[in-house]
Amino acid sequence: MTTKDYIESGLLELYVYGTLPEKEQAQVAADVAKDPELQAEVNAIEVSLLKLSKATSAGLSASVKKELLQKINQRATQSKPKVKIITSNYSYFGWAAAILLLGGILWLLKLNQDIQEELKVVSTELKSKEIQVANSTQKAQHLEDLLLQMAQPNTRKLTLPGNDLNAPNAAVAAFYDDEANELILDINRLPEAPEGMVYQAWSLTFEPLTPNSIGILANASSPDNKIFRLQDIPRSEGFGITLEPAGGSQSPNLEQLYALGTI
Amino acid sequence: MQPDELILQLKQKNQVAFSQIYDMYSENIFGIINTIVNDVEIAEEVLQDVFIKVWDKSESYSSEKGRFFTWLLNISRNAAIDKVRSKAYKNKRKNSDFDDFSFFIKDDKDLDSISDGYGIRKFVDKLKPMCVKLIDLLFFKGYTQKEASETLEIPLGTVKSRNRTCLNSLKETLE
Repeated sequence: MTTKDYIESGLLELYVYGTLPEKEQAQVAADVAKDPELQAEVNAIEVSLLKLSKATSAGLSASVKKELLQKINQRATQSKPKVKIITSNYSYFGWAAAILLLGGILWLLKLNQDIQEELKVVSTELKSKEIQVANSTQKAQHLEDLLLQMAQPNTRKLTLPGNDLNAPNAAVAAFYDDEANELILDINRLPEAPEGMVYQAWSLTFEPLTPNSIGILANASSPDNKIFRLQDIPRSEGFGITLEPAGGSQSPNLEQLYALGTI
Repeated sequence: MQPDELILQLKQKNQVAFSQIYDMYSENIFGIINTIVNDVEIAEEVLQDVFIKVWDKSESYSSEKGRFFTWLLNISRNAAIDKVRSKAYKNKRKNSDFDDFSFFIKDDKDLDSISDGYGIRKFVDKLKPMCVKLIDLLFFKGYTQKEASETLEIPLGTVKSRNRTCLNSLKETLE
């Protein structure tokens, strides 16, 4: 097809109209680019169409352009902050997530601390309970030992009546095993020893009256410090209890005799 | 000749170049749009949308695909047709009768002699009705050859050449 035929075909007009299929449009564009004569024709067609289309315009007011340029200017300046807004939106989520996470961590730490403290309290309580249990067990053991001793067939129960002068209504229970040479004394019914004084137990033989100290009745391992277990008791015919200065005495102060009994 | 340098600057988001391109083509585009929507207010709205699209999508124009004016034409026709199909347009549309572009070309007496429209009315009036229809459908409305041949009931093979003949008879006035 010659250039003249090309022009006469009317294809160039439709090319400028933009109504050809895409492929054909691109083909004509390529053909025109290679041929100055075709280019000149295309330019001529475009000039005619610009004039024709302009003649159909009702006339644009300047305000349309002004408004449009404002919109374009907005778009041109907006494009950067737009990205910023998006980022800040994301960062809000980020901050919210961070704060939630931090809150969660603090809450867990607090929870952990509370549990630790509770554990401390509980373990302290447990220790004190253990001590109580140990004490109770010890006391029970002691009482059991006493009971076993009292239940021995050789053990005789004696009563040391209170001395009329110092303790008229008191009495001391005694359990004496003359084979094991052990003596148990219960001084529950004697008045409380005054400050600086202790009760002292004596083994007695008569004709002539010979007292032998068998122990100071202080710091008993029994509850209430009132039941005493004394060992290595010499052969005795009776027992007495006197009140003596702390530390005990070599010989009994008979004026301070509180209880006295014979076997 | 098309303003290649301005087009390049437009692609680089140069607002001054954009303004110049608007000055070069806005009346043409406005005319095209108005022949489709037949409402000056709506046409102004569509025109702004078209030029915003030109600003946003300028990178998509390539001279290898065709003329810049052709690219503008396609955007404009599509935007105007979309508008005509929209619900808002159908609600507003007045039922005025108009057939083709010639309806929009003013009488010579309404124009001053330096106006581009001067003298065109007279020649358009002299065109055969078939020529007015052909130019209207192909150029202003963007019909394909097949659509035009079916609408006007003329053989498909004659559309191209008839259109050229019709346009040539106007050319003398237009040049």
